[in-house]
Amino acid sequence: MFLLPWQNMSVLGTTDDDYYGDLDQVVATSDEVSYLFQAVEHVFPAIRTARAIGTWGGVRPTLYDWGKNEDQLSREHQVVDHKEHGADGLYSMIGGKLASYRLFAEEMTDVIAKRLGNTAARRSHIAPLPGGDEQVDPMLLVVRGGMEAVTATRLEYRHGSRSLRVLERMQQKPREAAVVCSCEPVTEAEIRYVIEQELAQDVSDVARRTRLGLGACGGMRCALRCGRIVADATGRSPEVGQQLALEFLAQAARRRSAAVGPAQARQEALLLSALSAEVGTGSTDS
Amino acid sequence: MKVAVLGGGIAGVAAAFELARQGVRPTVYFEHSGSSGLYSGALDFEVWDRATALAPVGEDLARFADAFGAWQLGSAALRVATLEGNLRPARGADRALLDLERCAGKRVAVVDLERDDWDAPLLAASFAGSSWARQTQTHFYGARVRALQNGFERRISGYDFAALHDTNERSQALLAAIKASGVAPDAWLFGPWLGIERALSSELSQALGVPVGETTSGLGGAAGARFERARDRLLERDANVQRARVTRLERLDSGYRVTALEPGEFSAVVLASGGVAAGGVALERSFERRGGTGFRLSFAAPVALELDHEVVEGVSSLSSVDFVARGLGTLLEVGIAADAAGAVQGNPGLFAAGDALAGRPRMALEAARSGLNAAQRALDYLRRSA
Repeated sequence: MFLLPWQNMSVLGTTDDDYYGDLDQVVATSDEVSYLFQAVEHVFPAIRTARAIGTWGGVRPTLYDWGKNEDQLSREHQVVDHKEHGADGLYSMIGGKLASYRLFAEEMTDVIAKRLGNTAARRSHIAPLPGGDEQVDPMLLVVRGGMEAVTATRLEYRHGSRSLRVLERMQQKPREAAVVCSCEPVTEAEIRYVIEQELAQDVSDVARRTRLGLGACGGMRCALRCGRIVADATGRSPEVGQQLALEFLAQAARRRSAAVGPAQARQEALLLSALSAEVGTGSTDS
Repeated sequence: MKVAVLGGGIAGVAAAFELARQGVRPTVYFEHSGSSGLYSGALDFEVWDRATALAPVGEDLARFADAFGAWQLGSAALRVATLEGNLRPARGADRALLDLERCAGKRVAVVDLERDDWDAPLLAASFAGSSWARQTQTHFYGARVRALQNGFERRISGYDFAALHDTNERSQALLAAIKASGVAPDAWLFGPWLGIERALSSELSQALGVPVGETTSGLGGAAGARFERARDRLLERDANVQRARVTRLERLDSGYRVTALEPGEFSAVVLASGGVAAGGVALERSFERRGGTGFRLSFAAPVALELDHEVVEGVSSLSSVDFVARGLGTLLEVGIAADAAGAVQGNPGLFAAGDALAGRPRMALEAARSGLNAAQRALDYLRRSA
């Protein structure tokens, strides 16, 4: 188990349970949240008063071993060649964990490269990730783009050297310097950039790329605005944009509901009231 | 014949008004404004897309609205523009909101200024694309107005920006900026920025000869701040105000004791302390209850909380709520168990109103009406027991 700082919040995790349900419906459960709180409070008693602003969960396949429970199963990964099962050219990637994703992918592509006769040296361990080629000083973004320091720091953290592309947009269209999500914070230029350059098609996509709406307020002040921007940038109507925003809000609320505590409860109730005043009954609950 | 009202939101202030009107000046206890101070400025009896017919306001509610002074609540329904680009019906509204029914078929300018929380071109497109605008052939377009005087005004809260316009200097500068825009629409639609203390929307309407008003407010915006000002004025006239946190409500042999900074004893009490959003009902995470959480009133009181007609909190209750299974809407439904008229069972002289009541969220007008009703019930009770 760990409690670690990540972006501008702390992450507490993880749990490990068998899962047999719908793979599209994986969420943390209240039991898992309680378990984490109880376990970590011996070391960090203040966790009792901390505000949980979200949860996330996923399913990974583990290498099967007869008679072992989930904690004892290996975290190793394995590429399975199905040739001996009569399916030449079909491979399965089984096991592993997030921390070893690159290595695992590399082992898989090595197998494929060899099969295709490609003998070039592997290089994903030395090639920078997009935007990771060089460091940009956030102060440069402040001076040249008129961003606030915190906005610039977050932008650079997320995009690395590609933050300069967002800066360029802002310089051409100063209107796009508007901060849409103030919790993280995220500007309109960044939202339009991830739509146009990183294939974001709805509000959830934008949230995954920028953390818009995943901060303390749960998207209360930014999701509907982001929906309008997504609709505008992808040539759809404002009504569609609103629908995209409501879908995001419902999904995010569902993920948060396992961890709602005293302070967050008020926030959730306010969010629901504000939404129903704005868009009516269609907004409340997932 | 002393009566206490716990809560300074819409339900509490309506109850205080009615008590005073009938000759019983109440003591109103509240610490914060709860959810009323965060409302949008639109006034409804039900969630607006569920409201079927034009609900009659009734004599008592109309009288309260008139005395309250911050609302437009007439015989006709309004249509208001929301902060997020919707045009929606409302039974009434804060006085500063623009009633678009008056602008049907006309050209409405959406003020375009450099605030981060405002995107006039996209909003105008959203309004123009709505079915109401298409049916009534009402046009919306962005119109540039240089209303910001300092760079920081771009990012200050909507409330702060509205409050800036309370000064003569700024309100006159705003009028000048509108005139200098060179646009002459049939109506001007602003964001929620037209002053807190002064009725700037009507001043501008008079000066320009066309309707000028706001969209709804977001949480913590100008409409809620204007509610608080109107509330403070009314309570100053009609009540003894104790701005302090209530920590305990106890039943005595006859009547109730309220424990706060200055405690008091009362023959009857109106509980309008709000639901979860206002902090009147608190959620506790109990680490002992496996996977569960529990609700309680935010102060000690001899009342039970209810959810879906089941008691969730009591002397020995161990109930818990699973939000994953039940949905977060549960947070708006939990409240004090009371009969349909707000009487709290087993507690003679105790009446609940507004979001404090179990069942579902109370819209602003319904909260006001429940406050008036609770006051009436309390007065009836006092007369009977006298």
